[in-house]
Amino acid sequence: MAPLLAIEDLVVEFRTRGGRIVALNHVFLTVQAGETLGIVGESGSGKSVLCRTILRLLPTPPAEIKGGRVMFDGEDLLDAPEARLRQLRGTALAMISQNPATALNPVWPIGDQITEGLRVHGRIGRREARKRAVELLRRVGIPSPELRVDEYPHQWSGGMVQRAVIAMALAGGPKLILADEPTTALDVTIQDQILALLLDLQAASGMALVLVSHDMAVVAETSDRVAVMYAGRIVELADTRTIFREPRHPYTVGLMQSIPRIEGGAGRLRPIPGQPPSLADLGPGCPFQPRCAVASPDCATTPVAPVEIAPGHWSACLHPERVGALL
Amino acid sequence: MTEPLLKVENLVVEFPGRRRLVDWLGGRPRPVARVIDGVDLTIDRHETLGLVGESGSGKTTLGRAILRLVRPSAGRVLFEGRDIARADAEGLRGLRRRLQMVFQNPHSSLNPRFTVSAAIAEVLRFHRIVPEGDIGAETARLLSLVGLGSEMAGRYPRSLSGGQRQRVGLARALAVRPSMLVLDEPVAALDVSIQAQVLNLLNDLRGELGLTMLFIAHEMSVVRHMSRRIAVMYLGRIVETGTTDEIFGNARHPYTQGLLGAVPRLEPVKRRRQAMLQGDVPSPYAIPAGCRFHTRCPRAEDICRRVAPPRVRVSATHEAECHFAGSPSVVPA
Repeated sequence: MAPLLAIEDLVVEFRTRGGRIVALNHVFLTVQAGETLGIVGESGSGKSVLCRTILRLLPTPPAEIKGGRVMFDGEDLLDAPEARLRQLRGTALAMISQNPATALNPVWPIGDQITEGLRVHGRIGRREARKRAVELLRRVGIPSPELRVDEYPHQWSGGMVQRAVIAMALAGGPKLILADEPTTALDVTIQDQILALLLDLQAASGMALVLVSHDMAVVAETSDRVAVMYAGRIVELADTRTIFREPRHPYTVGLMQSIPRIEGGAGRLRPIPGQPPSLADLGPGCPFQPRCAVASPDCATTPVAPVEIAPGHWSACLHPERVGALL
Repeated sequence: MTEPLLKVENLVVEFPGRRRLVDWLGGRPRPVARVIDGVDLTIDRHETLGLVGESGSGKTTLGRAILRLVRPSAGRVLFEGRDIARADAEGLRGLRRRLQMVFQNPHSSLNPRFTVSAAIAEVLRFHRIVPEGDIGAETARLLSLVGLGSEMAGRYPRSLSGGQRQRVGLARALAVRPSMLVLDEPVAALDVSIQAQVLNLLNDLRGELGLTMLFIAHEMSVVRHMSRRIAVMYLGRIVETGTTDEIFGNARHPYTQGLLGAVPRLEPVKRRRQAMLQGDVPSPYAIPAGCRFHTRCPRAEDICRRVAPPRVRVSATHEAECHFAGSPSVVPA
């Protein structure tokens, strides 16, 4: 079956005063219908740029889409006219952003915002919209939604606002939700509630979910497959179990070993040495090579691309066989 | 038994809210948020105490009150036996030579117009730590202590990464040669791969310099890694304290249990569980009667809504403020 979303060879550049930087470097990905794909990476790795490119929300300029395709349900979003994109964003394709506080308009009742998309696309009238808003708020676990539908964002807590944002994403009956760090701004007990909610909704509706996070543990608990991003590239991609049990990229291993475990133990942490690279001055070789424990001289000079080292398991490492020694 | 280095007794911090017209017309007083509501705490010399809680728990305010960056409404903060809450300007200056704070956000805690060396030299001069002629050498020593090369000395904060900025913040705090650090979310703003570098550095410095630490964080795994003893805060009170093993292995307060249960595990197993704790932290303007946690507690009973729980002693080092803390594992973890 054709995947719901297929990104092929996507290249996005930014023009800055310091020259061109490649924010997304030959990125490829697929998301099957109903699947959860986790994307992990640190700041600057390109995960948010990727989400924004898929939704075509990236301001151009300074960004420039240099090549590739973003096939969604058989249609290339990079070729789609703005009117079609606007329609898709309110229906089949939805996004949940990181900061719930800025996702809603502060001077507009929450209920109206949730169903704005439905009303704008002329599908329902005011009274019907209000009924839908109450229903959607109930689905995302807001208690007594019929009393709260007319309230404003400042009257709600951060966790409740994030539920409202999820309700807004659900309004159009999406096939795919892009969730960009949906729980990063929230406390851990609220994160727990929101993750449970997202997985419940997904199970009930069969929608696909792309969950972007800097937290390996969040991805471990929620995703069917995981993509690891570094310096604008996908450096490893596999099913979740393989990523955590048999990683074949040194950066993936580094990320896992640098986190203190909730179970304790481990003693001294093993940080990844050095800093994430500046995208403005990357060499021709592997971007992770200056921080890598198993790099050889050729890593600095040989361009690397992801290779399928086992069915469904991709690694952009010249020496994936050396990675096992790090575990 | 030696005196603890820091002793907090029945500390209360209140922030006045805004009195609205309807309050005034209705003859209601100005609302007051009790952000710290009767906290007791001790930290021994060379000990690291981890302080965890969600946003709104009061953990940052507690840290700031200990340094008297906010003025307590009641209670005492004894540092080396002297009451900080009542210290005069002279006393405070002396105090801040012994007790320093490291802030969460290394972007806003450094002056953008000061180079790294100027930022450190300022502290050395203000507190007259070394003679003027030795400031350059002392700055270089501090930079190397926090793992920054001498080439960093002339740089401005904007050209530093988050991890480097946090190291500069740490060098500034260490410049006065304090005996204790209050660290408020020192790694929360850093990327995962950089967090580990800073945590290892803090561990090394603690050993080398014999520092005492109050380590404030919201991440349970980070606190576990850094602390021997842990205090859990909820809505202005410390609801449970114990050794790290007691808190992680035998938590008695349902809030601690819920907090631990909410942390995602680094295991590739798709979650099936529902969230343990429902709802949000209530407002400090309207702290629930009885047990302040009862509105979210999965095992609250009638008594919890009426009577504030006593502090139940589980062991010599382990206490929890719950009516049912005497019976273990009240909630399956």
